[in-house]
Amino acid sequence: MTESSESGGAYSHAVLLGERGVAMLGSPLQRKVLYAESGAEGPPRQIDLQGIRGEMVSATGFAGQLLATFDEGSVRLFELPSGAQQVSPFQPSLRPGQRVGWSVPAVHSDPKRGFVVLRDRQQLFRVQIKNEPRPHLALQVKQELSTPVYDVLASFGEAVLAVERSEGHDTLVAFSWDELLEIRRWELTGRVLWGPHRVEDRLLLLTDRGRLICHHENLEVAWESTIKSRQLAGPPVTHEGDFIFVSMEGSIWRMDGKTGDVVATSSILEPVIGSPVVFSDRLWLSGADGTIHVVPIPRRSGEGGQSL
Amino acid sequence: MVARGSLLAICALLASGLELPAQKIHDELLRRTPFDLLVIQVDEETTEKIHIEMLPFPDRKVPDFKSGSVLEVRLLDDPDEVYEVTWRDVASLQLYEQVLVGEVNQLVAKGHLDDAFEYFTFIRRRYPKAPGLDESLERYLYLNAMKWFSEQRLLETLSLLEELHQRNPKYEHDNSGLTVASAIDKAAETILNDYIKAGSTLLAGQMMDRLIRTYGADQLPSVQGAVNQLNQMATAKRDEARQLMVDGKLREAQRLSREMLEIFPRVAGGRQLAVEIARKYPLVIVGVTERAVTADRSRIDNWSARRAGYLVRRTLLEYQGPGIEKGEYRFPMGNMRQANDRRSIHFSIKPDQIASQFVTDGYEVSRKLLDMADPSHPSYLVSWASLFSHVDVKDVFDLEVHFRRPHVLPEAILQVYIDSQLGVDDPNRIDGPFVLASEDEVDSRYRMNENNRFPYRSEDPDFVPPAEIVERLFEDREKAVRALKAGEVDVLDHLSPVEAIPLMAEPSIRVKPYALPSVHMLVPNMQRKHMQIDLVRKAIVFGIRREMILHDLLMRGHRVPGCQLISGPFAAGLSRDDPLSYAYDQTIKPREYLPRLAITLFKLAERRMKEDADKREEKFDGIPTLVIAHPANRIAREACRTIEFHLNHIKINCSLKELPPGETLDSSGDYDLLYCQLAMWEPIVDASALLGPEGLAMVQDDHVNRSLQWLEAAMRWQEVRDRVRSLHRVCHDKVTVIPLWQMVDYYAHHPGIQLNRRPPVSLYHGVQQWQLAPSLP
Repeated sequence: MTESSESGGAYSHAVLLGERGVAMLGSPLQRKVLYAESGAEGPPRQIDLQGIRGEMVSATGFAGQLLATFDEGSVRLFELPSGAQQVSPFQPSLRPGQRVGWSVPAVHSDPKRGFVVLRDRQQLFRVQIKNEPRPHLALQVKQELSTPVYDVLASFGEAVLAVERSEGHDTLVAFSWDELLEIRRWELTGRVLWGPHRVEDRLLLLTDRGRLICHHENLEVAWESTIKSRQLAGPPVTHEGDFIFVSMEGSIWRMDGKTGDVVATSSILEPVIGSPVVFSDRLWLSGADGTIHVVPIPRRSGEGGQSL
Repeated sequence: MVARGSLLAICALLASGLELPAQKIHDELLRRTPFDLLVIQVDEETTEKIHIEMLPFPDRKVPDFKSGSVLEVRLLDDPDEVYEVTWRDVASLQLYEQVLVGEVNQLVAKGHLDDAFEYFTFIRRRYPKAPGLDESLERYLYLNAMKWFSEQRLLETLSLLEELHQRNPKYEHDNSGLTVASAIDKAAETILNDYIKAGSTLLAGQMMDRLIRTYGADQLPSVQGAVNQLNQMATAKRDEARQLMVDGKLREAQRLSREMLEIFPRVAGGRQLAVEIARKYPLVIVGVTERAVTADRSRIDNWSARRAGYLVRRTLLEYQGPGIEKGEYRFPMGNMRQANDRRSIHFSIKPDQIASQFVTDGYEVSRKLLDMADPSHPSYLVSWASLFSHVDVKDVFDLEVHFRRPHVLPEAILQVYIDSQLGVDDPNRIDGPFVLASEDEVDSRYRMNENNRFPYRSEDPDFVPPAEIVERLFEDREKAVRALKAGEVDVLDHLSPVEAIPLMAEPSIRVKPYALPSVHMLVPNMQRKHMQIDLVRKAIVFGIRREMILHDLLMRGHRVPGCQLISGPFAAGLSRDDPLSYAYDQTIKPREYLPRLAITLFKLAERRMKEDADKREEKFDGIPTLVIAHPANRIAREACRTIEFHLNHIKINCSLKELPPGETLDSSGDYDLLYCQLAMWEPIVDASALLGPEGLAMVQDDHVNRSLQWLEAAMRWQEVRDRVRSLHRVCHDKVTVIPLWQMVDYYAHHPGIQLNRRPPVSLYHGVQQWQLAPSLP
């Protein structure tokens, strides 16, 4: 069902930089990103990321810039398209030769409130931009966790959520944004396979039992639903109040945002990685081989689109 | 009756017109039993003087007795009996200190001034609070000054009068209207006029300037004539210098402007002219006799490399010199502070101290520290890796560096180049204040570095630092000294005491010692089998007349504090309480010259080597002629020639090998002993640089290496002292190196250029603060 395809080269991971554009990342050792600016004409530009050492571990968009973590221990903010660091990095305590594992930073919906990042599954840091003595990513709060958590964080309202591994099952834990203190926990059935991820005003996670759990912004469970796929290509995209999921095998399904009911499905029959993107009333998917697939958005039953 | 004898001798002296030798008076006063003088009113017309034992009055003040009070006394001749004296019978009571003051007054009155001096010395030491002492001493000083003035001993006269002025600025002699100020004025006028007549205008200028600064021009009315005269001379120099500047003869103009300021610093428009000339000609010529073949401030063995290194390279922490307890270090990027528990150091980077293109932050510095502990990184440093734990960066510019264990002096380890990748062949990356611009056989020209990492900013608008430094190579020190005297060079580096002492008498030259002495030794080449045998090394120590070489040959009979024989690899400091001497065990005395023992030990070593060779069925032809390699400088050359003579004399055959100019190491390895002049500034780290397996001496001895490791692991100062002194002992016992002596080194310069305010550790230490037009004192 592919409408058109373009060669994507060695860049495989897209990071949305708010409304400014998209950065495509390659291998961890790569010093360049591909940057596509919103509204700009011409092909995306290759940008050198300046002043970096070590391998990139994770990246996300933050205040319209690229926030990336590195295994040598730093978290850096790159201004695109220059690739320069206008803000000095965040670097917690480091030992010689230490290699650091980072989560993807969980950014607050208000960028002024900063982000939370997890180091080596055990330390939570809340970081904000501070302008004195010169702009830098300044540590606000640090919390040492008594039990390691998975290296996936989700910023959600005034909380940040992580998944703790317990005996026989996992536990979803919410920490207050300001103090990073535990405020609530949910014992889950089984292990978390995917998530937690914030998608607009909802939080989603998928367990190995196929349970897709959705939370409201007040942290209460909105709905639970069962899906067949266990391997999601990335967080879903929202469209007309519904969630559109893509599996790594190329299956696409659309779920009602309020109930969790599947309202439409389709498939491109090609492996997919990364989150889908809705653009120009089309669904854009990153093929595992670098191909970009542009397909119609599955329509709800009765809308004249494709059926289950 | 010793006391009685001493008393008689002194009484005889007071009664006679003779003067006793000074020492004799002093001895007599020491021998004399102190007494108080009690005068009893026997009847209305008769009194009796009695010498009694000193009365135990509080603070030696006679209490306010009532007439009926009874005084218990013991006679000096009969101390066992206690006598009671009623106070109403006491005509007078003179305490011993009053007796002494009375006696010295008699000596002064009789004109026995030299004897009086001994008396005063004694009284001031023993009875500084004696009533009337101050007045008596002031009178003595004045009278003695007058006597010397009449004998034309003018400088001594002025010195005495200045001492009197210091004690009592309002002194007036016997109500005669003659004051100490007027006497100083008269003496100074005479001295200044004599100087001017003799053409010693620089001396006259210096003295006049000092006197006016000390006493004020209004106190010295008679000096005014000399002032006017000097002012005229300086004015003439000023006008001449200005003309030379206009004519483009800047070097000459600079010389004259400096002379002008020396003669009369306050000459109208003088400083402004000096500043103007200095701005047009900001060049300093430095006379050297050892060319820097490399620029490396970390070289403990190479004076000239170290000197040039201070011009072109900067280090993370920089040694400033010895402090009260330990070496002082500076963090040129900002401030640093060691925690009280010695487990961490806090660095605070001050961006305004760093050139804009080099402004760095805590992240970069932390990376450097992390790299230095990373075995895969080129800047890896074992001692740092074993100490460093982790680093925290705070607020961009602050770092907290934590250690695995307490360390007394982590600063010493961090004397590493800021840019470790920097190559001297890439002038654009040189980060020191100067960069080598050109070089020929005579001159090495260094120009101000545009990429200077830490530019100096002075608050003085007339501050003129050198923009160019020319190191001019002289064949020998005598020519260099002549050039300095002739004003052809401004500064002269690396003078030995015998070269410095004559220059100290030159009024137009300043001679100053470096902050730390250098340590001279012979370092055995441990790659040579025979040098691994301690009997051979001991034979060499006992076979060199080190005392004679140092005092007769190198010092030419001069005694200079800090120049002395040493018994180990560390400096003994300039005195026993010198912080530098913490590594030196003063109880270990340098080995004596014992030639017979040397011969015996050497033969014993040969016999053992032969026995070993026989066991292995190898041929042994005796220990070969020992080659002593030495740098190409006068001290090393003269010392090694004499060492060669001494050793050959006792049949320890040796020959000399002079290294190429500027070289201090022999990379060929073709030598047995290397003469080294080392900068052992910080024994806690320099010990490894010398004695470690990778150090200069490449010592493989387990005992020495364990002692080094033990030293590096010391956590407290007392441990450092104990362990480094223990290392001294081990090195002494094993003769790990052959210690010779330590020497104080000097530099000299014209006063028209102001160099380092505190004694530098190397010539260009603090070069950015050199001032070509010094401000008026």
